[in-house]
Amino acid sequence: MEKTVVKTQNLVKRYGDLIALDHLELDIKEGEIFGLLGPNGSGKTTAINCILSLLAFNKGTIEIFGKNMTPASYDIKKEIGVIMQNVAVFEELTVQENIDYFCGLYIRDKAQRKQYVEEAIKFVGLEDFRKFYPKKLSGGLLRRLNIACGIAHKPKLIILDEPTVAVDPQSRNRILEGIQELNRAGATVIYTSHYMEEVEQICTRIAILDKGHKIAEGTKDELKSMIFNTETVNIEVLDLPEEVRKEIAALPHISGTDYEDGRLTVKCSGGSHNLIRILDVLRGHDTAFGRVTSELPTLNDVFLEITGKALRDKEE
Amino acid sequence: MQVYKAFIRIAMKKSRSIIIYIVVFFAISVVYALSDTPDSIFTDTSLKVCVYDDDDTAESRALTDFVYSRHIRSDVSRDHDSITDALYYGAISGTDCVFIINKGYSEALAAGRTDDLFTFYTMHGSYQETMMQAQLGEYVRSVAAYTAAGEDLPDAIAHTEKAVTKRTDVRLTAPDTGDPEYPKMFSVYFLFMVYILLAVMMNSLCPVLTTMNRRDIRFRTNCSSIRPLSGSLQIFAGSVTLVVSIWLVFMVGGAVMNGGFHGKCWIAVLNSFVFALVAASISLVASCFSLNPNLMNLAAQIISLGLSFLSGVFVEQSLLGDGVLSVARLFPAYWYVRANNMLSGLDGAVYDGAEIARCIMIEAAYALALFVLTLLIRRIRYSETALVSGRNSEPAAQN
Ligand SMILES: Nc1ncnc2c1ncn2[C@@H]1O[C@H](COP(=O)(O)OP(=O)(O)OP(=O)(O)O)[C@@H](O)[C@H]1O
Ligand SMILES: [Mg+2]
Repeated sequence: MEKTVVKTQNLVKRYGDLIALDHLELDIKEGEIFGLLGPNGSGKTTAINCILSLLAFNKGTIEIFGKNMTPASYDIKKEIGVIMQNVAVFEELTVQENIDYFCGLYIRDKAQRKQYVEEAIKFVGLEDFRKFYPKKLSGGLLRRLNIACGIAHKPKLIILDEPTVAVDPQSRNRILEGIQELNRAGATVIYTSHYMEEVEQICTRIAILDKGHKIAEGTKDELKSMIFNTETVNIEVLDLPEEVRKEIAALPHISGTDYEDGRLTVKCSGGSHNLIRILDVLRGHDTAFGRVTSELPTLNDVFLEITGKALRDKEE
Repeated sequence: MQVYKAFIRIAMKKSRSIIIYIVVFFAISVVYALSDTPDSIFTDTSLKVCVYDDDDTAESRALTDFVYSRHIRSDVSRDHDSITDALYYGAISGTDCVFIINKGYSEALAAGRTDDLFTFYTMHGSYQETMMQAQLGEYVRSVAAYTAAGEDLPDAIAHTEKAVTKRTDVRLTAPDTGDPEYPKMFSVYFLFMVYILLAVMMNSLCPVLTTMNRRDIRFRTNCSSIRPLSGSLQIFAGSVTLVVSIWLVFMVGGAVMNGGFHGKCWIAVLNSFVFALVAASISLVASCFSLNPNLMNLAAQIISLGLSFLSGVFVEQSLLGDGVLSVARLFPAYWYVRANNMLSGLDGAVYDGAEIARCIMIEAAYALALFVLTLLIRRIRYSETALVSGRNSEPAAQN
């Protein structure tokens, strides 16, 4: 039976009149990479800070490893590694000294710490930069240092709050792979982001937050099956007679059609072989068509359908 | 010990600029110690003088007697080698200057001429020689003035002797009460300590504390299993180590330059230690505001220079206006300088043990008050960032 690592019940956090967390219920199991997905200001960071007992909350309970979490729960804190959005390292200390410092806040034994620091340096691939000061590191390397500082003490629970903001794609991939590797090594991971691609790529289970409210939860497939539209088919058609469009719209599992600028968009809800049936209709009427694409729904569609707005602005 | 070690490590890495301050300070102190401080001009230094009277008149004998009455007579036989030796080995043979009252002195003086009256045997342009020339010049100009006013020569000389003696007396009252035992060098060394302690403390303690208190770093620390109290105590211990080390550097430097401390110097040492604590607590307050390095540097300059000027480090307290002084009294540096002056006799201050004790107590009170202020500011500022520290060991509500 899977063990629960983090459990929040009825968690409410207010900033004055603003409700940042609205009766949030989370149940994160051992071995998961749990994604907290939500637009800016949806309460992801607030949730993390409450879980870490960095922030006092108004209502609810938080349990970690089955124990009540309080600011003085040092035995619980010992097992948690935290990596925040901003890089928090000492400018005045070298890569190695930084990792040693943060690791030393958890691990007192010198020999063990030395070994852990070494492993962390290897893990993030900073072997050649041990004696470098953070100022001399590129953005991506700095992120890796930030991560090394958070995980050197081999925590059982790793919490990452948007660790890839403003990171180039290559470093981002490395970071994501690293997280999966830590997870394979046995760590439970909580990962917050407003990049749905990232969350889809690595998370085993996802909770979607909006205005402090958990609006959906499940694996990405479960989430996608929750919504009405399962597939969107796009077909280039130069000339589409109205009766052909109507015939397509009348097919089973078709929830909507749209024809504009030589493009036919068909929204499907469930069912299979939708594309084949649509193309059969076109061929049956000798209607010429060009490129055909089919899009599976994204988490953005999930979010869009539940809240009526996009997860994040297009230009981001 | 992790936090303490990091504190010291960061302090070491920030120490480069501090070392520059310290080196410059010591260089200036050495220059001061080697040269005569300006106030010694005002003291009635007795020179060892040899006068050859070639004029041999009543007037020239009067001058010779007058010179010997104010300085120490040193007889040197009148041949080139003896004079050269006497002057060359001035310190050993005990002769600071040798001069001739030229033949025709009396006639020239009667005619109102004051130039070419004396011939100096010059070894090197020594300060003693310059001083003697200045005194003789003053003497003859005074005589010339009295004769020009219609007095005859003997009266003019009598008046001049009286006037010169009297003026010197007035001028000498204040510094003479200073303790001759107290090393001249220290009066200035400990005085400038106001500036250097403030500058060095603010340039060392502030950046280290600002770094240790950075929000994101504190955040990470709060996530860890280290107790907040332990973290604070380690930072405090680091600060104490830094402050005491800096102070010790100056004390050891002072001891080396002076060949140790004795007597009242120990009070100056105590005074400077208390002021080091004041400087440290000023730095603590400043570091609460998480200024960026440039602003912090600016603040350090303004505070160290401002307090130094205001409290009479660069300008003697007695020369500052009453308005300035009444403001200066509000700052701990004023009390430090006051105690220091009473010890050294600088600026006409008179030694008063009880008053010195009071000054040091006032400084200590300032140090304590500023420290408490720091704790208050930190409490307000850090709770403002909504980071929960170990104090409230329960989440806000559990209903
Ligand atoms: N200290 C604070 N005081 C008042 N309001 C706050 C505070 N911190 C956060 N908020 C508000 O609470 C809400 C949730 O903020 P939070 O930082 O948790 O969002 P987030 O999901 O992490 O967003 P982002 O993706 O931008 O990091 C926001 O509306 C924010 O403005
Ligand atoms: Mg956030």
